[in-house]
Amino acid sequence: VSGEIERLYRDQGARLWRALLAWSGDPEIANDAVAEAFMQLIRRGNEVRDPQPWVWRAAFRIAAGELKARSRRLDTAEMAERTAEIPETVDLIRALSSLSPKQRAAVVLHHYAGYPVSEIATIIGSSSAAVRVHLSAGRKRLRSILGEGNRDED
Amino acid sequence: MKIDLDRQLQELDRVSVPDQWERIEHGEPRVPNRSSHHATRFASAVVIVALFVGAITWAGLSIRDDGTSAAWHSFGSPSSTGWTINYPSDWHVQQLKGCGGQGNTAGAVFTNTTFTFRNPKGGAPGCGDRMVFAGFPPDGVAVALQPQADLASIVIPTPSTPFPIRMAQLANPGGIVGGPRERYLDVQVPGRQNTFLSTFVGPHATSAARAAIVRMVASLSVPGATRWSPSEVAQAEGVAVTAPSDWHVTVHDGTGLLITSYAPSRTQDCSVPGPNALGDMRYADAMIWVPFNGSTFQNVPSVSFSAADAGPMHRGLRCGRSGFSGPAEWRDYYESIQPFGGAYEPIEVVYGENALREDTGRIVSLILRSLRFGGAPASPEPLTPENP
Repeated sequence: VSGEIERLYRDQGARLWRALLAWSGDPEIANDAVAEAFMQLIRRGNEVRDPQPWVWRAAFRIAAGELKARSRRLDTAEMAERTAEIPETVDLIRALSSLSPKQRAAVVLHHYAGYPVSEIATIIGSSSAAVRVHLSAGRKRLRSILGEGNRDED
Repeated sequence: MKIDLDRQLQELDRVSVPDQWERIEHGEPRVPNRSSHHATRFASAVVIVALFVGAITWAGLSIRDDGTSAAWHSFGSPSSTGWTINYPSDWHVQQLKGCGGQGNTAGAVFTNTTFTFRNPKGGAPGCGDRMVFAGFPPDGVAVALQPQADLASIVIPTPSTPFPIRMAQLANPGGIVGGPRERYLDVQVPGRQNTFLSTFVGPHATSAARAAIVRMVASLSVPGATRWSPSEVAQAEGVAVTAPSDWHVTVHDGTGLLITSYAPSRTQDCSVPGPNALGDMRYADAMIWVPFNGSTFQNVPSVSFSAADAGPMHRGLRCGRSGFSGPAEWRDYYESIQPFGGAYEPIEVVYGENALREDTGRIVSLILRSLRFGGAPASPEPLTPENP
């Protein structure tokens, strides 16, 4: 089982980590959520019938709990400092942070991870209809913010 | 310009990812496990229950010792805004001049001591700085009502005050160190002069005296005032919510519950959450969006909201009509509340740019606290004694 899970980690781990980074804005949360989700998968062994969606779902839920806990412990400046540790994407992550958590998850999972709406609903514990609403509102808002950024550069 | 989100998000692939397989294989979690969370929560719950029981016992003894279970009288000023208030009959009443050139007996201050304020009718035009508290007993409490001419509220529309007034509606700026702690509210009633309500609590005030202030504030009445009222519209959707009677509670396209301090007659293309019903929003208004989740709210637990459930605040949302100060800029504010393990959507709150500092923010907080899911009877939140 461990060999199969390692193959899954090699195949999905990086993409999952980046999706969690985009969603949470915090590399430490991405690290911990990926590691904890795969560790739980190893512990469950053959109990999990479909490991790939399971590990995505578990990682996002772990990250949600951590994000909530850390946002109470850290002030805004500290959170912003952590985001700035990833200079390549700081503008993108800042733009994503202006979306609600579910809008952000819908946009990242659809446009970055390539998941269809029904699977996103499973991952974030929502309904397909609600995901479509989040996706639409999130896209509109993100385009507006990124568009403003581009206009400023012009 | 059309932004390609797929392309923008693929920029994430430039970020290098740490290889954590060794950590995973050796099982080195950094996230606390659930059992320790549960143990902590259980211990916290035991402590909270013990404190609660202790507090109730102590409060009961204090009330008996204090003896403020005396009869209550009613006092009113029909010549000004028509306000009336109930107060313990053994308290002291001193009539006050209204603020800003109002009548000599338009206002009053009620105290649980015989303390006489120096200069209670003095020339200071501001309501908040005209009473001298030097020598006020440390266990003293006071409630003051002062009608005032407020030109600002004519120029700048301000939401009316829902009655009965709860302590959470009063601003809480603190007070003088060692002196009484002040809270205040500019009571707005449609078509009437404002009344400046303030409460003062000495550092050693008894719990009974504090409870009396809560009861007095709740008893204040002014003709024509709006009231807290449960929404039948929301109840039909399995949500109990209590909102001011001049707020609007509607179901928007079957996708969620829209609670606004204004009539949402227009929609506007604007990158905001929910139904974009911001076209008519003024700068002290607020909108609460409770999305449905493709299912009903039946048979889910009750929940109460606190400031700790709020997500980060975002500024600079530009939309809405040209208003009092040119193109409007709104604050939006997500209450990232997921009380049912993530099964329900976050409730989103959008404020006009001044709303958080004004009474609107405190009213929104009370509306959120009144939300109950699962088709419970929609009744106003009980007036529990809060620490005034």
